[in-house]
Amino acid sequence: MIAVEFAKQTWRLRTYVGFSLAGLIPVVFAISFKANPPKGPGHEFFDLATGSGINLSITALTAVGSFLLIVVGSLFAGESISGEADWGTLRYLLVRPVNRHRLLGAKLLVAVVLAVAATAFVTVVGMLVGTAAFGWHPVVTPTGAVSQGSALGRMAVATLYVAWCQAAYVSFAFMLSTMTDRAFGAVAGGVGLGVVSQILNNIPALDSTSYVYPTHYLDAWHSLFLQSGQTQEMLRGLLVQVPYVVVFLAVGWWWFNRKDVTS
Amino acid sequence: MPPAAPIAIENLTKRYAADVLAVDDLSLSVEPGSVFGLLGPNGAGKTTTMRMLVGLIRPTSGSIHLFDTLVRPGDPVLRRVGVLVESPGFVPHLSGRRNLELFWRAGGASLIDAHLDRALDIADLGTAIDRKVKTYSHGMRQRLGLAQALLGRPDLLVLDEPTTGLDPQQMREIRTVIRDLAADGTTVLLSSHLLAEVEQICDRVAVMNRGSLVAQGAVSDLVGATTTVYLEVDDPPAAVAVLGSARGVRRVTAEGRGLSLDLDGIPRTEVVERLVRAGIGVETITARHALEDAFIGLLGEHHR
Repeated sequence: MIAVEFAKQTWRLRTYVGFSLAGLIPVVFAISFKANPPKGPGHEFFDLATGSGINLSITALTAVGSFLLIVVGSLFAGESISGEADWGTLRYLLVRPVNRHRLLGAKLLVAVVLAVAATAFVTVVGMLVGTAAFGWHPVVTPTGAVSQGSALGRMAVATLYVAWCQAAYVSFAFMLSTMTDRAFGAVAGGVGLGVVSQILNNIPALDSTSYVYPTHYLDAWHSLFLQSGQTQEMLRGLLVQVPYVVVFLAVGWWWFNRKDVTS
Repeated sequence: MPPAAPIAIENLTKRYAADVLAVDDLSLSVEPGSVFGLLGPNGAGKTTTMRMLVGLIRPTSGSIHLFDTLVRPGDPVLRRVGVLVESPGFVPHLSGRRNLELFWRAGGASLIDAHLDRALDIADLGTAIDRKVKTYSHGMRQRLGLAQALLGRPDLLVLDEPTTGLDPQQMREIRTVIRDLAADGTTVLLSSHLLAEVEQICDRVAVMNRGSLVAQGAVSDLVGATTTVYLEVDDPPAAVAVLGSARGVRRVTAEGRGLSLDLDGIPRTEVVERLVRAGIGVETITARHALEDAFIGLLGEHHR
């Protein structure tokens, strides 16, 4: 079932578009920073993007996390079940018969793998084009420098962290996907949740509630490259996703198992 | 012990909202190796019945047994059933062949058990089988859908309007395929709103209207022994006089330029022969679909 799902979902336009967008960002960054380098020493990772290939990767990962990955993650998850309904293949899978739990499990796994892979794609492309443009140097950080070897491990952790930060809206899009036959609606729902979270998070008057928004801790992984090495925020960032994931997936599962499939 | 009935439906009811009864207290059973027709106008509840039969939607009340197994969503007994419900559905960016392979493998079975070649023979798509499904015409999709239902040589086929949207030649081919499968022992449940189709390929028929069963029985019983024929001749009054007293003609009614006959045992050719011998020219002769009359009559009774 899982192999079949990968065979169906991987080599298709949707996946190509998602990965192309994800890969395009670091390339665009590399070109624009090369052409127009940031002026003077800064204190943000954006200002240090030209420091090394890994620096560019850090910048790209920071940039995509706040919007593009919301779209790409929602695309993979929101299209999972509703896409089958749209094609008219859902009913045939269910009478094959494929157990509904197994179908959901396989669909979720494929969506998660694709979402994580898209995130990793940003990191890897960022490093490749960044190294080509700015060289293979130790990472320049606002508080010093990190050697390449050590930075690679930290980038791997950072990539997984950023991928996990999509969990809330990926789960939301997945839940909607079990409820509607319109893939677009489920994808838009996931994007909507991400965008609303971003907006609320940026309203100063709501600062006291910001710790509940799934996007609030999005950049907490920067601490991996700082001298202080505070990982508390990252831990909170990991935990804040959990209630969203549990609730959305539970509702999606419950709904789909009771559903009358008429599409 | 008699073999298990492929389908046994008892008091099946599906209520959508408080006042929408899609299927109302339906009971029927299908014998092994028979072709059973579910006949009714659009909206009669045929598709809803079929969806419940294969566990896609849950009955509000009543029960469905397939081969003596109470059907639940995703029940393993469905491995013995080939399904074409409403329209066929395929992954558009994959070829017809790939679609069938993935469909089969999704059920966790080996491709060897799929009898893919036999199904592909029936689909008869030629080289198009390796083209992406999104390039297929409606008829090609329908044939591929039938091939998909036939994968793994199922014991029971559930086909919802299998000939919809096909041209007459393709319809005939598919009907032949269905008859051949039944001859090999496959049980077939098919729905149709076409009386001629049911009359041609089904052994038994259940007529549905507004969710409930209006009539059920052997096609020959429902049709009855009489057949109705419509004639157009150059001299209707003379024809009425010739046929009115003839043996084997039960009733003659003048209808505009023509006349309608109820035949009781004599072939149509003999009717024409008698008229010609009496010097009356026959312009057209058409067999009326007897089931159509039965069908309309049954629905009419039900409305009252």
